Amino acid sequence: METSNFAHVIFQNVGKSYLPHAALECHYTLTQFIKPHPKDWVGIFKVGWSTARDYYTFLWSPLPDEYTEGTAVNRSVIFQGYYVPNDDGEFYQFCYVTHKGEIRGASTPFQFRANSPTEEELLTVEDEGGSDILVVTTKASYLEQKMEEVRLEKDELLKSMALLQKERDEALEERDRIQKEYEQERESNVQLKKDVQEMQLSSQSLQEEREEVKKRMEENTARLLQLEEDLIGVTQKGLQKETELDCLKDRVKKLMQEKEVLESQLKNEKDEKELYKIHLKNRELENTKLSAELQMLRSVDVNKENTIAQLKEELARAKSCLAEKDKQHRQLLANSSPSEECKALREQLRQKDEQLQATQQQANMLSAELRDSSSSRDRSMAELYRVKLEVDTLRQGQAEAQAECSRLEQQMDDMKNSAMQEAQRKESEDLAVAELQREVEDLKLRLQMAAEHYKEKYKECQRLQKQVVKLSEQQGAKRSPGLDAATGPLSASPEASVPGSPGSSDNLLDAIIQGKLKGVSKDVFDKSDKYKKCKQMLCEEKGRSSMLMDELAKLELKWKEQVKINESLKLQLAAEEDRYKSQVAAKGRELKELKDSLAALSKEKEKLEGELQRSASREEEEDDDGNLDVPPVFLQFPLPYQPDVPSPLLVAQRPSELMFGNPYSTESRDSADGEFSDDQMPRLPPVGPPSLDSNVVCSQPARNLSRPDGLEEPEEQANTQTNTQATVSEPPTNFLNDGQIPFCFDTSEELQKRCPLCEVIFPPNYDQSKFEEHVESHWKVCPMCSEQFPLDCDQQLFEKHVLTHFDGNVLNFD
Amino acid sequence: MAPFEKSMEVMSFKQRKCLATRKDEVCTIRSRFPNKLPVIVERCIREKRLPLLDKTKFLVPHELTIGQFLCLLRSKIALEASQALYLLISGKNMCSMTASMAEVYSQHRDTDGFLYMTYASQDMFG
Repeated sequence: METSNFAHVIFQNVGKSYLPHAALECHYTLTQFIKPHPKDWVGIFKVGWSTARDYYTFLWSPLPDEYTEGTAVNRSVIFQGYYVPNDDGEFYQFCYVTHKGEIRGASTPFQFRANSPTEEELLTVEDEGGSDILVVTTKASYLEQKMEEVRLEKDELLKSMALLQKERDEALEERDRIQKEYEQERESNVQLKKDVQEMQLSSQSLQEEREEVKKRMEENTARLLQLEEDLIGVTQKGLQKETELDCLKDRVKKLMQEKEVLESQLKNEKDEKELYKIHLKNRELENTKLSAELQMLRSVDVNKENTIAQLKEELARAKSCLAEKDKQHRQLLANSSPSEECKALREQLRQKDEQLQATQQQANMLSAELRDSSSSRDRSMAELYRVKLEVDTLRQGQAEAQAECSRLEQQMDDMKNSAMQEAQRKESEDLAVAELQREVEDLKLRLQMAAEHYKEKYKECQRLQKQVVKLSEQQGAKRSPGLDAATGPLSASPEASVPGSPGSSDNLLDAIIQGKLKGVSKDVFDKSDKYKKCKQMLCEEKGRSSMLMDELAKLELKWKEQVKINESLKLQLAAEEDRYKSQVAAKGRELKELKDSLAALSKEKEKLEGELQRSASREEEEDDDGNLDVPPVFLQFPLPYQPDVPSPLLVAQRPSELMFGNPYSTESRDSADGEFSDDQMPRLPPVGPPSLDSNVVCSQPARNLSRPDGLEEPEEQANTQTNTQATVSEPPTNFLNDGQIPFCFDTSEELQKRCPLCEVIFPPNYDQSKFEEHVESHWKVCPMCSEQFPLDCDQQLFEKHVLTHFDGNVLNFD
Repeated sequence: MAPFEKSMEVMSFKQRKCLATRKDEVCTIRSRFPNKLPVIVERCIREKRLPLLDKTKFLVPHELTIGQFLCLLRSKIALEASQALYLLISGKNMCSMTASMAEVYSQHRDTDGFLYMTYASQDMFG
């Protein structure tokens, strides 16, 4: 639709009146029908205009910035106050004029009037600040004012709004941020929840594990406790073992010590054995000598025995002859009246019987004497052995005393040295002490006295020494081998003890004199005390030495006595031997005489044979046997009745000879066995030797037997042989030393068996072996060498003897 | 209150304040309200019927006419339509009702800067 040209531009909000001389604002809209142009203008026209040139004033219409055709655009122009017309009461209107001068729009008419506000428009407002001022304003101005205020307020509000917006934005941002954070937190929370769940699960599993572990731990703790207990036990055991080990170590130590002691003992034993060996060798030499002697004697004896046997036989024959003759004689007597001849013969016969009895008695006596002598010799031998032992012990004592003496001397020397040192020390001090000099003098006097005393002692010692020397010489004269050893220590001991004392006294004197000369120190008192002590010790020493000397003297005396005894015994022995020899000679003579008498008797008997038949032969013989003991005469020397009774002598002589061989048992046995086994019954020969063996030389032969020497080997064999015999034969002989049994042996044997030890009498037909068993039960027999010991012999000695065989064996193998 | 009223009635604005203070007041008012004019409105001394105004100082715009101001005063004093009211400029001059306040101020303003007006019920007093 085409609108009028005046409607192409529409003016907006045109008022009824405007103030003159005030800026006027005109708003308008360019419709689509108009094309704006820069030369278009808006003018104020008086109503009633006819052309475009009738404008009162005008303004160029500004071009819109972004104009697009066919659209409406709002525009505005402002007329300044000095261009607008005054209040003239005329009506004006706005008109839009194009650059071609065409009017395309017009507004409603308006007036320019000074505003004469009506009563309603006027307002009286009291002044805010002033008290009594009443401000009168128009409503419009008031509203304008208000508007202005509101606008200001609006600006402020806008500002604040902007601020708040900013704040809001910030808050929003923050919120977003917080939201994000929250999201994150939530995520993390979720994650954490998951984690927590996992953790819970894991914790549950861990709890289970913990339970298991707890259980295990409890088990382990239990085991640990057990193990600890075990450990404690083990440690205790260990401790016990250690203590045991210590004990064992100690024991081992002790045993080692014992072993050492035993070794030393063994050494001593060996030494002893060596000594014994030497001794034995000596003995053996003696033995051999004596055995040779014995052999000689035995041979003599054997010869004599042979002769005796022959004589016996002769006697037996003579007896038988005599018996026959007696018978004959009796017959003759019976037949014929007893003649004087017969009486004479009878008397003769009786005389001869008496003679025979006398000789028998003599023989008995001699045998008893011989026994006594042999026993005494045995005793002397035992005593000799004992004395030897004593000598050994004495020698040991002497050696000990010597050692002690030497030790004491050393002590004395030490003391002296110390005293000297002290004296020298005092000398160095060199302080003159006049007061002490008096004391020193006293001491000097005392010392002099002591010196005198010492001198006396010394003299005494010398005297004693001399005595000892003398004694030793005497001993040497008596017995060189034994005393050589004894005199050595005897002489040595006084020498050791005596020279020490004077020397010490001199030293002391010197020391004291030195002290005095140099004006000894204040401690002289102490010195004197020390000297006194020394003196005392010296006195003690002297006393000891004197005691030892006395002991020595006593021992010497004892020794002398022993030696004397020994000598006397020797003399006795020699005498005995001599006597025995003489006896033997006498016996020999007697035998001869007896032989002669026998020959005479035989002649007589031959003579009588004819006269005397078998009259009183047996009775007389019995008488002879019974009358043998009758004569109580002591006939040690040649008998007057030799020819009458030769037989008892023969019996008695055998044991007497054997007694020489006693101390050298083995050899004597050898010879005896060899010879006697042939001639006589096996019991008789070994009578002598074993008896002595058992009692006297118990230990020595034991050593001999174990000897591995070449000389003894045959002897040992012989021993073994003989011992068997001895065991059989010895029972009666063993105790010859005690009683006279062996001499009556033949008689007792014939009549009844009698134990020589307990005097038990067995019947004659008692079993020989049982009898021997009984007799053997009275002594001990060494199971190794058949050595015999008395029952009362010390068990230890016996054991020692038995053990020597084993020691000997060991030594043999060495 | 009577003596205070009597004194207030007796003593005019000029009598109450010295010239210097009045000048100062004018200066301050004009600085504060540049497009207003300071006017002192008082009751005529011989007038007895009309009441006193509670305020004596008035700030009025330039374009306000006397007639408009008189209307405003009548409304202020609450006079009835039958009662007459007259305005005397500086105590003795009468002016047309259409004259603006700016014109009156330029013609009759006092030395201190205020425009003094008095109102009365009869014009014969002026």
